[in-house]
Amino acid sequence: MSSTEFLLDDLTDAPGIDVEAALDPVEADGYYRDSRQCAALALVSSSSQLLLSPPTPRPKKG
Amino acid sequence: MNHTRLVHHVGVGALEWLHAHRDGFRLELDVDPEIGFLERFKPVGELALICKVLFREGVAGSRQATLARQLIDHAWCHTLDGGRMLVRGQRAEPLSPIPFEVYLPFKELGYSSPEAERAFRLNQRLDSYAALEMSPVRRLGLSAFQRRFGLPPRVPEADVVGATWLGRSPEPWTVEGHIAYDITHTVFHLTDWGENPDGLPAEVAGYLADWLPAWLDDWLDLQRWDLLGELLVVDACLPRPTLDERAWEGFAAAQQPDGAMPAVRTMPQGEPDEVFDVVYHPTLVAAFASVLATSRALTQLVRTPS
Amino acid sequence: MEQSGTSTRLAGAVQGLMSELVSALRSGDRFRLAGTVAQGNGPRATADPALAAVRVVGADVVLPSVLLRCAPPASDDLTVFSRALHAYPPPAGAPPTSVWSHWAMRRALLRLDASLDGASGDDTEPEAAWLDDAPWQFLTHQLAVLAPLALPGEDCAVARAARRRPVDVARGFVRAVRRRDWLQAAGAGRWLVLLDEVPQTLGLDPGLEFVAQMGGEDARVAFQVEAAQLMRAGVPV
Repeated sequence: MSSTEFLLDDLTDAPGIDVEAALDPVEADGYYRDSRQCAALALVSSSSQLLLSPPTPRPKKG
Repeated sequence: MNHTRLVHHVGVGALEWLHAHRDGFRLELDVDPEIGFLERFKPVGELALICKVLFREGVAGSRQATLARQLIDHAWCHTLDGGRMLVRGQRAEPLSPIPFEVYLPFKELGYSSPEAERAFRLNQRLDSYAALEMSPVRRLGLSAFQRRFGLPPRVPEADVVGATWLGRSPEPWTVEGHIAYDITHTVFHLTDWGENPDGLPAEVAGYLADWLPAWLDDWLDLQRWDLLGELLVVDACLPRPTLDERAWEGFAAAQQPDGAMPAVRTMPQGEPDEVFDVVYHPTLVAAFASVLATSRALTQLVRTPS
Repeated sequence: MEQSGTSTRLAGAVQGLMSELVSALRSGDRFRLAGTVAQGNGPRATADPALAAVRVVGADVVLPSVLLRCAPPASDDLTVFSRALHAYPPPAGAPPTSVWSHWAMRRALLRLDASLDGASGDDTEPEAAWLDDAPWQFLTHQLAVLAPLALPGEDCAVARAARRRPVDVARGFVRAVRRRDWLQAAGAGRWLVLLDEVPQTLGLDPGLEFVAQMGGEDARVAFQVEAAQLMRAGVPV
């Protein structure tokens, strides 16, 4: 069976490594949705009605 | 009680704005045929629905009752020309459900147009009208309106619920904006716009109780006030409304000093007519949510043993 | 994927370690920590954050053997694990997540080889009151950070807090998915597979797959989902 090796160094106080911060992360902002889609939907929905369907298309005259 | 006051105040402000801007509820008589004459009927119908809710739930304060009555009078007498515009609209689009859907709340508030009603009764008998292809939630709403009008729905509501998104209790983590609006409208129709919370099947009520807090959090975070307001209506329709404090506080904070509720984040810029067209709906929703939630909050206070 | 609060180098080391662990979970191949240890006082190369990464990953470093997916760690692997444990004790005033993470690591080590525990014999649990009245959003976030505690048959105070509020954790899962916080969703999902009375309408199984599909390029996400799915399938401990 193959083994996986993970190399280590015994240096534990390497600069730029904040272990405690990694152990207590703050939650990231929820920016990840497509706000363009959402904004457009807000405008569409107010016309896409509480209740009403689009009217049937009118035949063109003439 | 402070929370109830906050909730109530949202509706007070919204109604003031709606009344002050009632001229925005206007039809366009020379409209481009591609858009259709009936397009601008929808806000009028929505206004009537909300006024119906206001009167049904018992609008607190004589000023609100006066404003609401003036609003609905203006819509019927001026905007709809005493109902004649509905007749005209139906003649322009004979198969459209819109004139009927606009008319019903006015009828329930005491207004009447016999000529319009003749057209509605005919449509209800047409197979084509019953066969019109529309989304399940739309059909649910139309059938509910027919029932309320006194016409047996050609497509029974019970036959449609299972076809709605909400009726199938799907994975709650998939709810994006379109689905969320389908959810809210399904609840509106099942409960007759909050009049009958028992209209929610038990499984649906349980499903909503489980997942509504997550959706409220979501749209509050995104500052989608229009949708948040509709979900607050849904909350007020539950057997045990939560009256989510955090959501209501965010909602109330978004409201403008003149009572307008923006649709998304902040107020749009533009000509007054353009701003009205964007803002009237979330402001109507704010009034709706406030009236229902206030009514439920007061009921809870009465029920809570001291 | 944002990794708030960590240096890029530590984040990279964590990704590397987690990738190896995902392979171990999937393949059942034995996972080795052993490697070269620098001797003496020679000139130091660029600092290697590997030991810090072991501390950050914590008890999950030995999860493959805990879930019986592969053979128990070799003694030199346990030595490294023990070194990471002792090199990074929680400082005074450390937040509960750090304290509990350390406790979980120590307990994992004790279960594997009690002779390696060089600390005092005090293995009482840290306090868990910080979760008692936590809003469901914060509860889920903290539970997800402490995903290494989500083990079958686990009975510590954090696990009991999770078991008391299955619906709230489920809501937290929904919220994390909607926010596209795949790591939080994966950690919440791992807890959910162990809780009773999770609403069946949550759709946890496709939800886990969805999280892996959307966020699996982050090895931490892939690991937590893999762990959750293994525990879901009833892998015994």
